Amino acid sequence: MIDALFGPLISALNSLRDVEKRPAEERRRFFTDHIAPAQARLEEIHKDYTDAFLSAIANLKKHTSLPAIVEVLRAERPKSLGKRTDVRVFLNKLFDERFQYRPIRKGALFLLFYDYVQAVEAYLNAASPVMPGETWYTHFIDTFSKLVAEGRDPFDYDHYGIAGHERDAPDAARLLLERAVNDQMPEAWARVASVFGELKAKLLV
Amino acid sequence: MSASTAHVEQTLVAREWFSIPVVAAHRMVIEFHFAADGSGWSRYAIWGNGDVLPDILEAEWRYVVGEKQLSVTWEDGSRSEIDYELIFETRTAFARKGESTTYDAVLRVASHLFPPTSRFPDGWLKDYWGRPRATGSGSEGK
Repeated sequence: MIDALFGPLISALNSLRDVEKRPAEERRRFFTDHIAPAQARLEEIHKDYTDAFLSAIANLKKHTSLPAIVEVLRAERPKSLGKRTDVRVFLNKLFDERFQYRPIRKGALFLLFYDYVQAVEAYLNAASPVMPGETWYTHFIDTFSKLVAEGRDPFDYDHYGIAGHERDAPDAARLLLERAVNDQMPEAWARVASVFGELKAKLLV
Repeated sequence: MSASTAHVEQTLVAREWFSIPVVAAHRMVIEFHFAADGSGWSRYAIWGNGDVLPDILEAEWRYVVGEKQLSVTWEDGSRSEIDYELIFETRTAFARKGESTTYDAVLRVASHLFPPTSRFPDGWLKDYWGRPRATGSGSEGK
């Protein structure tokens, strides 16, 4: 999953500067080799996580399909894709190049490429509510999973206070998933789609 | 250009300018730079939680220093007259990790140096702190 998303983008950075002035065919190839595959993978991620979160929200509301809830709650979040060393190196390099120079010296394609990768990173963040590793959540999901494994009803258990505010933990988890699916993910996805459209228009003319 | 506006311009060009938030929920940088040739640029960058790449808004413009106003022409040709006040006083900013930076001037502006049509969130203090420009720090056209 990680190579399919960031692999094409990492390899794109090296040839980025040359591409802008190249013939139309080479610009098209740059798009089809680097940008389109990353976008296709991100679309899959967007669909998979949206479906999974919606399903978990429905099950949390109805107190049904407990193992399926556990699976979604335990699943790796998209944000973790950006933690691998080669991805961090790529993001840091892109940041350095973007931040070092005043705007006028940057090519329009480089700026768009930066905006695209930035939008992708922001999307992965938006699609990562209730990250395993956050204290209350880790404790909650461990408790929730243990109760499900023992055949007990986790909704009958008093999780009160685990989430650090006046809400029961399953409720807090559901609300965070809802906020992600209804607000944060669509907003972040709209930005990805918008910059992708600009890149496409620039490279496929 | 009067002697006083020449002095202001000299001060602006010799420094790099930053907005220093008292407390910020997210890491961010707001800065602008004046070049001696009458050009300038501003940058607003804000990082999401744990992100490496900030969302960046940048603008390039041309400026003329007046007695009480900066006349700024944006990239689309529109113009803003921005009231300003230049204050010479020393301020020190501390980062979370404890390191400090000293600034020796404050440029107080009536509106931020971003085009009125930009998506810049106009909620920050309009005091920009200036510190002597490091050699090769960007506004020379790097």
